[in-house]
Amino acid sequence: MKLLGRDIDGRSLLQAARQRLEARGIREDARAVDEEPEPVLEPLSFLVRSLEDNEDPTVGLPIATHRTGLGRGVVAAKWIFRRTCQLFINEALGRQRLFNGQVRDLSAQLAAEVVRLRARVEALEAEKAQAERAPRLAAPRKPRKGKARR
Amino acid sequence: MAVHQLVPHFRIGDATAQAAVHFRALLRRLGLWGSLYSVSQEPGTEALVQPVGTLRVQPDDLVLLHHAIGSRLAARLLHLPCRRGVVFHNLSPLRFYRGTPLEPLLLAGRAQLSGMAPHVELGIGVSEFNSAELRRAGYRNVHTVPLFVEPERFGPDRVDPAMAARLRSSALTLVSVSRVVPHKRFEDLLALHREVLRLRPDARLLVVGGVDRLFGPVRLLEAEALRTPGVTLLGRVSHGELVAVYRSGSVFVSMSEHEGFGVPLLEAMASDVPVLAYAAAAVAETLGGAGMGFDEKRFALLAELAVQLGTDPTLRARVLTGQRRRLEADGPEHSEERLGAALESLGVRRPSRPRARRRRPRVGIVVQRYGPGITGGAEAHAAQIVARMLPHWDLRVLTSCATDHLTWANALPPGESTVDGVPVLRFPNPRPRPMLELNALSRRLFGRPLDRAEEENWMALQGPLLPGLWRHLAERSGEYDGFVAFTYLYVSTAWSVPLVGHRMLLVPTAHEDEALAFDSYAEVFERPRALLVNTPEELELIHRRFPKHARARVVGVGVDPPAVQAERFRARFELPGDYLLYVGRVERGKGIPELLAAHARLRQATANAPSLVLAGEASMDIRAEGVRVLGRIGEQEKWDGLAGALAAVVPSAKESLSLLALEAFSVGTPVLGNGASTVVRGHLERSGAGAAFTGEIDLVEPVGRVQRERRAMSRAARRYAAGYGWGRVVDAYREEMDAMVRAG
Repeated sequence: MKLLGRDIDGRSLLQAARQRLEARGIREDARAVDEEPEPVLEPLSFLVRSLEDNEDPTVGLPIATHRTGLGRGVVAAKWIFRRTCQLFINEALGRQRLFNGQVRDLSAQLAAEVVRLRARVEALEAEKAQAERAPRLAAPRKPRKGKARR
Repeated sequence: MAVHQLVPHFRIGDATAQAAVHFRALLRRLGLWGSLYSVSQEPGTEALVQPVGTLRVQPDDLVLLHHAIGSRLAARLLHLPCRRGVVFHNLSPLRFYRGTPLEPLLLAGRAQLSGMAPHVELGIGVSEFNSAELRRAGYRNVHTVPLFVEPERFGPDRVDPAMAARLRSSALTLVSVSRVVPHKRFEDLLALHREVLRLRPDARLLVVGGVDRLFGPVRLLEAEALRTPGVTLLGRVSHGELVAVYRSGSVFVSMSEHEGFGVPLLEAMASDVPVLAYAAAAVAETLGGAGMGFDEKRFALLAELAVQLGTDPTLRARVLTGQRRRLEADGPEHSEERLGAALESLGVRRPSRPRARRRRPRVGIVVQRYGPGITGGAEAHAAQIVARMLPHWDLRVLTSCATDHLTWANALPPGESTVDGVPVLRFPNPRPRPMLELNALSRRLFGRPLDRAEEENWMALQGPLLPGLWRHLAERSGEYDGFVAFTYLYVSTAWSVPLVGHRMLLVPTAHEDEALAFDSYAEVFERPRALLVNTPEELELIHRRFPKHARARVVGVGVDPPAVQAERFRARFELPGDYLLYVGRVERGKGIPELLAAHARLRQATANAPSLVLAGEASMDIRAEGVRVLGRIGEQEKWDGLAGALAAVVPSAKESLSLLALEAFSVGTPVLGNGASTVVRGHLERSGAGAAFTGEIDLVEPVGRVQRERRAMSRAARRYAAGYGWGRVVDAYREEMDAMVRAG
């Protein structure tokens, strides 16, 4: 363990604290801290995947509440409603389900096209940059006339 | 151009809301104007923040989205036909929220962050940590503008006394300020506290912040906390209570495993409590080498350190000194500089003043209302200055469309017009002032310590809101050589002053007022080139409240009475006997109800009591024996009336000049004034031409005195008024403006 701070002598503070712990007969390990890096999400792929995950409106979201007491009753009521009325939920949302599937397919198609076009634009830009650089590199230098500069 | 800001949900006290308000203050100081917009907001903030649906942009405007969670504003930003930027506050780590209702929002937020990258011109991280994440997400033009606190808002004078009394104790006290949500690791805080209890059985742990019960384990933790000795969950608290909690603490502790910045760390530093924090994410950067950071969670060891930090006076003093140094080095000025650099990368700069020197300076007069028939001390003052300076300056009055000072309703057409040969540019107020709401908010806020967002919310509600004026100043101030603004109190002035800063002369017309306690007004008094105050008492008041105020000069106004005929007034209004005259707005805030009660007592006590004459626009119903209400009267009638009065009455306790008193003196009429106003008392003491009443207005003795000594008082009044000549006033304004033009 390290102590950070310009105004403290971290090493001696730690040493003294450890000695006091030893005097109390305490040895301890550090609590493991999970430091998984956060992902950078490619938005188009993420959205297409999210559409897939959420395309079926007949499947409810997880039931949660921040309330106690009455809130728990509401959770129970929602659960009972879903169990007993799923047939009617499916009936009411049948067309929405179909529509969502089409939106998903359309989005996937468009996203794939955008990804392809982006790659194509990048490639063309790279080609163009290379073409612009090439003549400059190839240009012959004219011999300088007059007095040589030191 | 304008720099607008989008905040998904605006609630006073939330970090993003606070950041948006702070950014707007910095933008004003950089000479830039913009509004705040949100999808949803706390009720009562409608004057400060507008619904995002009302946002209208121009192509060169910049819109900054404060991004901290998935929000529909990200999609809206992408399609705004203007320049775009993101202020990134970071997103809570997914690993703490898997399977919770927050997970989809966090995922969406991360995807939106990358999705916006190719479509924005500017990425602002509120820490280097966040900026690094912006770069990883594909942002190119990335700048770091750190958040900040205003240390004076956490001083010992800002403590809520009731909370301080409740928390007073000699026990070792750990303080934590954060919402109780999974990544803040409340369980680690409890583990540390349990270890501290083994060393100090009477130790306490005070936790400020809401408990988010949407997360199942948090509920269990809350129950565990309530079972643990010495733990107090204080929930959400007011600003004064927050300062009281910080200042009751021996050590501030943060066990959070993710902070995009960590404002409470700075708040603790400003409250002089040593900080012990787990150096996760941006925490080490925010600490900036101050306080005590640690990189492993060994609770028994940390308990030893916490006790030592809280009880060893030498260690504590050293840490506190370092923390103060940290706050001084990276305060608002540092953030202003960084924000300025970020905007400069887009070619955004404060408009420069005109290069060509004109023979007559072109001056903008900023005042809340202007026009014929508009009464009000500061408005009349502005009109007088305009009339006197017209021969010397090319003037343009910048004002609202309002004639009514209560609602600021748009009564006059916006745009260019002329009043007595002076060009006037009027800007509409998009939101009339709701007086009941303002009064209720005033009752709730006055006399209490507040944070900037609360103060600016009150100021916005007070109005008049003139976004057109602020845009005009931000974009076209270069067309003016200088500005003169009247009345510090209204946002039309308060938010204009920082926009043009040292090119502004401010006539504050300050008096004892609860709003003067707001720190947000500091920049109004500190940023202008000079303050032109009315009286020595006003200057003393300003100096007491804002010791770092701009250079100030007592200038006041001149009084130039025309030829008067008292009999003409008596005949016109059929006033045969003695009378006391009040001229001004007839409303509660001016002390009229108290004056009426005092007059009734005077009539009961004396047989030959003078009648009371009230002249001016009345916003209250008055029916009383011996009282005449004349309504608005003409200018000559006012002078005739003053000349014939036994005395003029100034019942208001809030006066910065009391023009009425000076005008009465100039025609030899004594004044009965409210001694609670230091300005009025000063006039009366210096002149010897009247009497002051204090506490409950008592007219019996002062009226008797005036009746006995009127002749001598009249002579003294004329002598005193002779010192208020216009020549001196005009010279002072010209000197100040010429010096401003020369300074460039």
